[in-house]
Amino acid sequence: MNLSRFSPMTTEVFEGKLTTRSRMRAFGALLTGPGILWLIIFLLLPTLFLMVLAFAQRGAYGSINWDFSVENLKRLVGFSSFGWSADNLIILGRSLKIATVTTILCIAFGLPMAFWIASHGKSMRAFLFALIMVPSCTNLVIRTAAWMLLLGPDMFPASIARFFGLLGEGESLYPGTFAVYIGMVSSMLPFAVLPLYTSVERLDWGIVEASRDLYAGPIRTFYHGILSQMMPGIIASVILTLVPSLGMYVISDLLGGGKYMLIGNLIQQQFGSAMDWPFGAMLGSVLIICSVVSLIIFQRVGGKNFV
Amino acid sequence: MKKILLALTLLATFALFVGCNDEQKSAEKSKKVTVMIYSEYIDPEMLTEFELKTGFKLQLELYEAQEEMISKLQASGTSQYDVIIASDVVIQQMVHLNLIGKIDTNKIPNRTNIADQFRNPSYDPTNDYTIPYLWGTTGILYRDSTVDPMKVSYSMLFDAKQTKGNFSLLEESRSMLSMALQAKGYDANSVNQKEINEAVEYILQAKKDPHFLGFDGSVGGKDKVLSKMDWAAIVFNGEAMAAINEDPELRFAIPTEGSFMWVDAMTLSSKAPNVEGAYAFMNYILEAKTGAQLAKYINYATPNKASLEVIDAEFKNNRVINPSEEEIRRMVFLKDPGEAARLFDEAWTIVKTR
Repeated sequence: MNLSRFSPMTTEVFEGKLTTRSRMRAFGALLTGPGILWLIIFLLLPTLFLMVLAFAQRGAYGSINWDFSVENLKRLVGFSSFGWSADNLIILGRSLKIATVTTILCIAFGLPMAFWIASHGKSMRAFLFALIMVPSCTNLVIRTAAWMLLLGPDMFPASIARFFGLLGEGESLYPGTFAVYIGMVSSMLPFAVLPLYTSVERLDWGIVEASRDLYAGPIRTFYHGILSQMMPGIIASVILTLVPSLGMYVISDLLGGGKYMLIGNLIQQQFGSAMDWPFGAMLGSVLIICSVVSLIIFQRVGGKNFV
Repeated sequence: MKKILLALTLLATFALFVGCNDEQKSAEKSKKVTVMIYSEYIDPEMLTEFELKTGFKLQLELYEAQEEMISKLQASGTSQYDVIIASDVVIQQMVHLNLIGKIDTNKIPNRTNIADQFRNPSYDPTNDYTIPYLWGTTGILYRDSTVDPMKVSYSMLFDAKQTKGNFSLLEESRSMLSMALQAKGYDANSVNQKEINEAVEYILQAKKDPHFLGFDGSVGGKDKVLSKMDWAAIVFNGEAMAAINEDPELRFAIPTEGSFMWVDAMTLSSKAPNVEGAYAFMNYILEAKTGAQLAKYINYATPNKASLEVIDAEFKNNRVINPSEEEIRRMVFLKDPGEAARLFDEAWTIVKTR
């Protein structure tokens, strides 16, 4: 075997076929090439361009001035025309908070749902999945507008809240924080449930039995026997909910009344009304870095604790 | 291997098919006029009428927001459009970005119909680039028939002691800040940092009022007042008119401290393929009858004084659509802030963060 490394013409057996190493490489390149090309053209190059643009300047009337400086970075951390202010950082922090809370809520609601779906027969499962996925076929804005109607002052959720004294007379459930989280969780939940369900289906219940045999209590069994097995699914769920909710701003604008800005609004404002593409690119790059870093942290911390 | 090759060939043929679609289009070009316009901003009947009258086919390219329109023009060029409808605030910017060209006014005989207040406007002092299409005002829509619209002040929204119910402010940085500047007694077009800072503080103070429901676009504000979630909101007069038609208890006021009016103007694309057709369209819109039809259909005021002669008295005397002389004196046009754009942007970020 060692010899083959030095002589590429040596034939090897691969999937029952006689072939050479270089031929296998060529075949592999043919298969992976389009995918890699796609990623380079549509992901890597635009991201690199964004990061270069982030160091350019806005010219008058919204053009781009290619004199590179760290002005946009300084502006982002708070050096504005009005003196130092932490507004941009507050916005970033607020977006991270909303995204994190949404993700935690989605996992918390998604886990029991995944188990419940997995406990049904095959045809029933398909039906339940359809129930989860069908709302996603409607446009996000329309779904959010439906919540606006439903949470209005004259509808039954408001009457119920009023009955329990949670809501004063004439007040309504929206706009507000509660409405924002309802909207966020309801739109992100399908993305959290799917990977969780897959990992519930693959669970090795033998481990749970073993843990019971060894007199572990229900909490310990769940923690070491079930949750540790589901970690890949949970990580996938977190990625699928955290990253999109970081950039989401439609829901918070519609259901929160647009009182406060999120990072998504700020970026949209730069590419829209402010016509300051370089600063928008800087904000976008920071958002990308933030989501990558938070995923790495999560994977490190989460991985260590559970396994 | 053969299968893969086959699939690739199929893909390539498909791509070829998609690629050669535009060929036929160029043949018709000379006969059609392409107008870039807000969605639902023209009476569909006028499309057929224009074709009958001039022989040019009218094609509309729709947009929803000014920024969207400008970035579309910057990205794909102006050679696909003949006429571009743009708001007064962005005219100077579009001139600087070379998106629009000079209009030869001699080719538009009906230009004499333009009302005096829209000649030599601040956004186009030499009348070189624009022909007004429709115009409107911005004010406060509120639910209280006992308050005289002529005496409404911004304190109705900004003074916590005077707010009688929930209210929303306008979700548009430049407009909202300019209104706050006026409420503070400054020029709406001020680029003075100290004055803008005071305007920011003024809005932030209103944000602390428990009656403050949030920032909304003109349509959103109108909907909230109509559904009684809001007691008052800042809206454009066209929306106010629609709301008042539905609920006669509502009133619309131009605040005494002043507000801004806006004009949507027709401009000539810098690389218009059919310049003659573009002039024909502008001339057609400036006809007395067309101007009246357009204003009635869209519910905004016409800058066409000949149209005011033929329009029915009820529409002409409607104070929401056609404000009084005194109210017009209170209002200004907003200018492009140019270098100060960043100041407004940062001010707005502060408003939306704290």
